[in-house]
Amino acid sequence: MKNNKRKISAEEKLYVATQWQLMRRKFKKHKLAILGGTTLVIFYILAIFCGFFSPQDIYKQHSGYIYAPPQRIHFFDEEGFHLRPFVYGLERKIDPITFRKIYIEDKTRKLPIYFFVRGDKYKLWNLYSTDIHFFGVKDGPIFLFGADKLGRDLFSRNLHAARISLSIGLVGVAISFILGCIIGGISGYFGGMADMVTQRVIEFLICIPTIPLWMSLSAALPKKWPPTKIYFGIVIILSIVGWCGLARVVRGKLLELREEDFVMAAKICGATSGRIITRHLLPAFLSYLIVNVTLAIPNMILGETSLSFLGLGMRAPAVSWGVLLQDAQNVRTLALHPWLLIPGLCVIITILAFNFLGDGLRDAADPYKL
Amino acid sequence: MIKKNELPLLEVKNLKKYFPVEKGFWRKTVGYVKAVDKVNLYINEGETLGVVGESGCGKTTLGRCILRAIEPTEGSILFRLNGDMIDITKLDRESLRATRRYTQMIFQDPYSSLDSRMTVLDIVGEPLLVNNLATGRKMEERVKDLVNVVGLNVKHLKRYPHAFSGGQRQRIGIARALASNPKFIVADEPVSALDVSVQAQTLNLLQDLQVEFKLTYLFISHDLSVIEHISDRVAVMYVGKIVELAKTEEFFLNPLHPYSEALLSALPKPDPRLRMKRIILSGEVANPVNPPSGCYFHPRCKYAEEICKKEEPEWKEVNPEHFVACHFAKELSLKGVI
Amino acid sequence: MDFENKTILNNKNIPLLQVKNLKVYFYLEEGILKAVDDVSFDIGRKKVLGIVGESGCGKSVTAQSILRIVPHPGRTVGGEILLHQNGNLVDLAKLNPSGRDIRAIRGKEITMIFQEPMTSLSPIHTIGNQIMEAVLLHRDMSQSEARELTLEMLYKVGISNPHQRIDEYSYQLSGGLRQRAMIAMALSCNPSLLIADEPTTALDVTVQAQILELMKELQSEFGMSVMYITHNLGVIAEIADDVLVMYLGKAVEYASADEIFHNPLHPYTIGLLKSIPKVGKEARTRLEAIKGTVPLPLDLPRGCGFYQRCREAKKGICNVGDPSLIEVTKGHRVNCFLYK
Repeated sequence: MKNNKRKISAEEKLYVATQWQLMRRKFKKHKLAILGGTTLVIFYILAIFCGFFSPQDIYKQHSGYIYAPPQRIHFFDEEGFHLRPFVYGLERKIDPITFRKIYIEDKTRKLPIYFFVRGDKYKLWNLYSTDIHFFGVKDGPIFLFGADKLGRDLFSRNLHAARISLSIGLVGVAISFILGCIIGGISGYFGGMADMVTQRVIEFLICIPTIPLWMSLSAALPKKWPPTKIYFGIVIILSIVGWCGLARVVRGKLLELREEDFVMAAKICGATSGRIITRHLLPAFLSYLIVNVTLAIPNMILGETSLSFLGLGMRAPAVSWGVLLQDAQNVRTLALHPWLLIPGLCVIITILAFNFLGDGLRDAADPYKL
Repeated sequence: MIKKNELPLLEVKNLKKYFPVEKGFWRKTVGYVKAVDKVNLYINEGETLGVVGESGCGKTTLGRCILRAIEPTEGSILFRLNGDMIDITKLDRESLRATRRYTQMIFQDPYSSLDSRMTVLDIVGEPLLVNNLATGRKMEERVKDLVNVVGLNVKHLKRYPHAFSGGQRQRIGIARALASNPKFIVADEPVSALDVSVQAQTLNLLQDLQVEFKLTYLFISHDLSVIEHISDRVAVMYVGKIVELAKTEEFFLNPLHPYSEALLSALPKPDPRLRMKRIILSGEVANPVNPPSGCYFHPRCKYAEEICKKEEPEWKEVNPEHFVACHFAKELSLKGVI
Repeated sequence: MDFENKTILNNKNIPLLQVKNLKVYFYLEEGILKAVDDVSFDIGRKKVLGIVGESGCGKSVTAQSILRIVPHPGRTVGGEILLHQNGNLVDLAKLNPSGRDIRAIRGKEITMIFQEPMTSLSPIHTIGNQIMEAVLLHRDMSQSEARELTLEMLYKVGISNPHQRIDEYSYQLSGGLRQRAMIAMALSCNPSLLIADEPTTALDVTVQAQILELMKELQSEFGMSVMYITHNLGVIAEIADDVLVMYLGKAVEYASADEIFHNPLHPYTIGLLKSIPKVGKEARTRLEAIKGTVPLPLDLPRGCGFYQRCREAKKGICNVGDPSLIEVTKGHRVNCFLYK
């Protein structure tokens, strides 16, 4: 009997659940999407606090560690297990046959890793000057992802690159979202000539191959611009094509919803167009928009990465994943220093995570469909 | 129910709705779908006019045009409001919005007609809110009454439509239609999406409400048995035109249009002992983009003659209150339902 | 009821298909949905069995389980589906759903037509090619013979100018013609059983009358058995010899059409018949509706499934035990405690 009562109240809860509650329920069942979402949250936190999480200054050159390989984190030494992880110091040698510099772990130098250590000075969000880092070793640098040709720490550089690469996706999509909503909304709601013109413009824009378009536009960005200006320039270039897809989604959904009976019912009740749009249409397609926005972000990130990789986007000294990947352009360095590809791995993980998340959101977007 | 010498509640004169057919890159209009074509009818207060026809005959479009949910192309719709006949087609936006509360609609699909993102309270209360009839607690009280009237549990006001079955959803739709105290309701196939046992409940409810609230219905259906059950008068539509209009009893016993006869004959009767030779119409409903010449029904009509191919039949009152559009309405003796 | 003896098998009186205690359950996250629960019926040779019921009563799943095409996560968990095939007896319930044996029966011995002919015909092949494909698959014929047969079938189902229609695509045909093409395809292999799942529900009344008439004619011409599924009692009265009334996955009444319509015994059947509007003299009387709505057949309480809605329900009897289908008079079976 008690059991039955509990079941009934659970059902009642479902009956009075709002759209968003139902969506959350459905979303939670999608394991991959949860995984993707968690990954992204971690990535964004790392990117937002990149100064804090990176152990070294990204421009500091450690001349003794040119092309140093990633250091392994150890818990065991010959004495057994230690709770505090540590790395071994690196010793540079010259290979007697190839005359290349090689690094080997110096087992005598144990460098324990400490949390909240003082290290290089940095400014968090350009506001607070501090020298506390999340982790680091007290004695010398630590290279978790190895070092580049100037001996700079790639782990720190990757985190800073994430800040630009991940945020460019968000800002770019925000701009395309606004453009898409306005243009798509006009096209779908008013129809007729406005609809036809916008549709033809979108078709034209979509026809242009994106990479050459981006290339020619970004080549026009003045070389003298500071990194922040370049950043916004790139965002705008990426959004020029990005809004088309969103505008189409908005228009299509609007056209579909306009024909729904409940919209007709509201009209017959005497509801004004404003009320119909805000009370009925907008809530109905907001969830679809979120899905499409989520799925549009990866394109932006990929766009920035490819532009920067080709040397047309962000330029050193600014760092983004694309800029970092420029170092991995030739096969010889790659074969010898494969850790230079780690930024590529980060891009892949991010894109996959966004796609998983988008997938889960898409399934949850219409919780009323069985 | 019908009193003579009284103005009808609603009169439709020469109503037309043509949808343009567009083609090509520049969407040039190449023709028209005559969804509703020169329709004349009237509905007296308190009666139910049943409109019957096959899919694509324009019955839904007719219902929506009468409420001006879609704009009619031509014609006038006179609606009696406080003793005056006002022409709904001539109203401007604001006055149309103000009269909307007197005319309502019940939809066929109980799923798409309710906004799944609103609670029962919000759905049923919407007409009250947008017409400034009640807000807040007063609205909730009124919604409770309405929900009670249509036979739903008042405890479920906070629920969303997905918690209800098709029949219950249709009741919510009916409650919404009643909210603003309308005089006239267009019921567009309100029971065709429902299960047989639920259909009967809904029909009974509609009849009870009609008596209780003095409602006038335009009842649209493809099912003749439902139409016969609920209507006082019947209008038969074929390819955008009304071909026959008569009192229900008269229509079922003594149809005057060959299409009506075929419809009546095609109706499957729930009795295996009544299996009889039906009139099987050849072909299917004519294409409204490119209808046949003369009488639209002539290619399927077994009584058709030369004149039917050439001339469009006139809409005339053959017997008192029995209108028909057929060249041979007087000559033919057609079979109704026994 | 034991037909193991081979000599009896050749007897003309034995039914073509016997379904015994069929159970099809859907294993959902929310629980077990008993779509078909202990249903038994026979389909006689050259007979039409009508299955009638409201949405969710399991009538379509019954048909799907005969062809072994129950969609995932549904499973046939019990019962026998015995097909008597020129002297052989095959239990379809035991065959591998994607094996060779069932594929030889599906589309040849037993064929099916659906409610929505638009979705059951492929939009990228011509009508003719689709029918010919079925013919070539199941019959030993050459390409040109198959085309001849297709033309003949199209003609037989009343499609005018078949020579033109054979090379048309399904979207070029109207709803009625599409359903005729489906019927032509279903009959092209000369099946012994045709399963029709609401074939006229999506059609207009006048077209429905055409299709019903056509099916009756073809049934007598081809001498096949038909299992006709619908929610429309009028259609059932028109076409069926025997009628099985289903409610919530159970067979509630099973008798000849005449008995069902003139001497209904189960309160649900009686209620259904009273709740449809009558044409003619009885019109305009108030309908006697069945109260309540059809529940989901998910985690049903004990007792008769109709208990909540039944006028005759007796507390302490109907909600305690499960009634079973018993023969009240010869050939008239009811699943109700009123007749015990």
